[in-house]
Amino acid sequence: MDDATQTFIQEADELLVQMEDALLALEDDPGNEELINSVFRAMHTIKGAAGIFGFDPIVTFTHPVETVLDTVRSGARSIDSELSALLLECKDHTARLVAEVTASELSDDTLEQGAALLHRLTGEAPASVKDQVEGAAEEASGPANENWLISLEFKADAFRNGIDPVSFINYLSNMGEVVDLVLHDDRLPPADEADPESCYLGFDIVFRGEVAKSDIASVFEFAEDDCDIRILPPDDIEQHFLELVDELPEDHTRRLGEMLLEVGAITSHELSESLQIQITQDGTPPEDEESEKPPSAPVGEILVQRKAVSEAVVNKALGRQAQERQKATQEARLIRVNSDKLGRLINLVGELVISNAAIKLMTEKHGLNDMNEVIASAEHLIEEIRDNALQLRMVQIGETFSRFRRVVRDVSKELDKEIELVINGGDTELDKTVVEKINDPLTHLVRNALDHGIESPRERARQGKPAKGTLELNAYHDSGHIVIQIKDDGAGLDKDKIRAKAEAIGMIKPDQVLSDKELYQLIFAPGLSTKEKANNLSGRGVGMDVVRRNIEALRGIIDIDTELGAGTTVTIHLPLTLAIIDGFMVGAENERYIIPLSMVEECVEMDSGDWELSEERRYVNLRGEVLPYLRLTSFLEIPTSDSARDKRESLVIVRIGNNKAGFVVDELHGELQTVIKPLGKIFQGFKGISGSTVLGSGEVALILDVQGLIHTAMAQMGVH
Amino acid sequence: MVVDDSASIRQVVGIALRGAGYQVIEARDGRDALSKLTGDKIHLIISDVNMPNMDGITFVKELKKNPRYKFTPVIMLTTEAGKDKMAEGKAAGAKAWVVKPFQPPQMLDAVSKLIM
Amino acid sequence: MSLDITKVDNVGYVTVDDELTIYTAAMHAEKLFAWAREFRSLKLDLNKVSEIDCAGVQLLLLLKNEVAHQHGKLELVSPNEAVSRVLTLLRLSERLAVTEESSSEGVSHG
Repeated sequence: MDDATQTFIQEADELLVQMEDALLALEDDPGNEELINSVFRAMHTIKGAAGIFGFDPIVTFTHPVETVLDTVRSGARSIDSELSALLLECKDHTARLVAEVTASELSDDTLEQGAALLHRLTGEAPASVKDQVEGAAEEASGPANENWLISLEFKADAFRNGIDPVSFINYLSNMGEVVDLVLHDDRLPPADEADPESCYLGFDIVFRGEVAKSDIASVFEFAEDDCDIRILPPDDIEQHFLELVDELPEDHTRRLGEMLLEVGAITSHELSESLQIQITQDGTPPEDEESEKPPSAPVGEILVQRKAVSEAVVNKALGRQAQERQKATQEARLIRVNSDKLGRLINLVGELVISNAAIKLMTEKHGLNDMNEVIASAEHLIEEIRDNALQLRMVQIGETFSRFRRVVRDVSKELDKEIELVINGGDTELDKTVVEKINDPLTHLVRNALDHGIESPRERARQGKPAKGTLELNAYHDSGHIVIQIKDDGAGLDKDKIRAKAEAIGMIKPDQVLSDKELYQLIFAPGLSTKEKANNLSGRGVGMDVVRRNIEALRGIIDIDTELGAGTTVTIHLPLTLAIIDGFMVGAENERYIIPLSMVEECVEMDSGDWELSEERRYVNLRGEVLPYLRLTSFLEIPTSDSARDKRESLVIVRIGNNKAGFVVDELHGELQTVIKPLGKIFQGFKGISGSTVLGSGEVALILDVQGLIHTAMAQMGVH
Repeated sequence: MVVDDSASIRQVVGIALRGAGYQVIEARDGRDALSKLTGDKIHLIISDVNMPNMDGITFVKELKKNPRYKFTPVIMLTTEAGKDKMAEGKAAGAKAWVVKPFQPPQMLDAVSKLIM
Repeated sequence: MSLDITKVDNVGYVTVDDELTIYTAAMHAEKLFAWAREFRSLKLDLNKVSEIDCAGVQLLLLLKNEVAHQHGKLELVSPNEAVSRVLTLLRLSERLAVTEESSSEGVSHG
């Protein structure tokens, strides 16, 4: 008998003596916790020790006894004289078991007695503890000698919790074959921000072994709180790789793809396809197939060797990777700001602007000329603060555009079309609030282009177009606005169809003359759709009127230009910011109105001889150019005083996009900057007014809805 | 370090671990264990839950307060494979467990997942 | 202390005579990053590393990034068996460009 077993017997004997002593003492002091614990511990310890030695019969017997004692310990049951007597018998039996089992002389008789005792104790027949312990059903192992992919992302506290990825990986390598492994350090922050005790690492492991998924999972059991674990069985790897491509940063997937390719877990087809996708997202098609630059990364070599992908394509992908790294270091210098706080700041700046205007007015009123310089410098500073504050809220539209890459990819797949997304001017900036509101209309327009615009590859080939359609998202600044274009080289709009539909629903009369432009604008009218059947992507096209409304709510305008067979271009003009504007103030009668300065092209006084009205024909002749016009007093129905006829009128030429018109006003008051206050709900329906503002004098001036007025002017001119 | 109030368990586990090439310090309960932490490096601690004088969970909590040992992995020996006890252990900082009764190979298995 | 540095031809030559583990990571990081900023190029002799775990490996990766950020170069040389074993396991030997090079002769450390 070996030394350890001797220790066991000795220990058991001591514990059983303790148990008996405690049980006897409990007769006089039934609730004594310490004594109860003593009894419990005796069974508990003997059971544990027996287990480690493999003395199963002892475990089987002591386990239910321990359970009963646990209920006593927790107070659910109390030891009465009956239980006490029974427990003493159990104690005796245990002693017998210990003696017999350690001597390998266990008799059936003993076993029977034990079973009977337990039955009296618990009323149940004892289950073999061994069965309980080995409860897990046996699973069939996975296909032998195929590659599993284990993806591990350790969390920040892993190291602190005593979890060492190295040990787990080492264990894995002893359990089967670690065919290959990639460590991902893309989450590592720069040195001055990193906490060396935090874990920023992840691993992708290709593992081969005769195992079931649960076997692999159990390896990482201890790490479950500190690690995100994904285990992909052999046949799932290819399918899931593409998913991973979308979720993980590019560097990560490149290395992963390289590894999977090397071990043959995915085909070069899959990898090149995913690389292609990454390149397409970059927006630039491979231009010259004869690039001489050799690929610098292993993955490139492999792919080129296997002729899966051209060198140029790989270079583009690698080029983008370098870009991403640069961007990453740049982004590290940003801080996050609560957008509400920013909004408040901008509001305050707006108030400051008004306040300053008031001060300026007062100095003028009181002739405080020596204040002029100070006021001017204050004004200048406020302008700078304003510009800087508004800049804080500017974000690049590229972020929004980039989100469409996924949309384009998914839709192309779904519709079996080949579509390439090209993005230009992603670094064009606009106000964050505008960006948020532009997302829905843009999405709708993009989907339209994908669904109705670009044709199937076969149809395109039939028309002599390249099988791959192009969708362009362009953005640039133009005279105080941001211009966003959605351009496709698809089917274009059929104006005859539009006309037919519009007539059919009674929107226009058959003999009504409309320019092409006006016809295309009808697309935005609710109820008009020339698509025969809806699909789940863009419905029946009823969304266009909503799109226009959304754009108009942002004080923007939307135009369509199209050519049947060649494609469609949707152009959106949006003001750069919603809050503060530089305006040009005009007067009509005694009322003041503000025109956004960016829309003012020219002001001409009446007696300059440059312009001439034709009231009949509703146009103004400006140096030979014919423009629609509006007289503010008549349009806004402002009651005119008698001196109207002697009034010297002026003409303000406004322009939005390609549309120009003239406003006839009584006075020109000059430039000012002011804060736009939205109109109250009651006033929303007012034609021609888009907002209001408070002047330095405290008066209210209304801001003209230039776009709406231009349209009205055009309509009036067109009609006559 | 192996912490368990059962001498035979300590002995058997000790034999198994030494056989696998590790050096082992034994302690019989939490308090004893703490007194034996002299500042020398310990790579792994195996501790029972139910012990007199200081139970396993309390021991782990105390252990984590010591800067010299706060990152040391701990394996709890638990008969209650049930969630509540292990959750307590995890909350205290012990991330690994072996269910009693166990056999030496199971113990070695768990150990080799945590240290090389 | 357990990390010594000597300047050799504009490169900081560091001998690591300690463990590189979760227990020493923060402490050694501070020094190593400071040296990276000072010398920009570093050469780490890993021969006397008593023990290394994943936190230690991560420290080397952080250092590599920092050195690159400083536009310098990081060389890791003379890994002992423990270090080699771990780096091989994690497939980092090539990525970290670890070389077997023996210590330069005639250089006194202190």
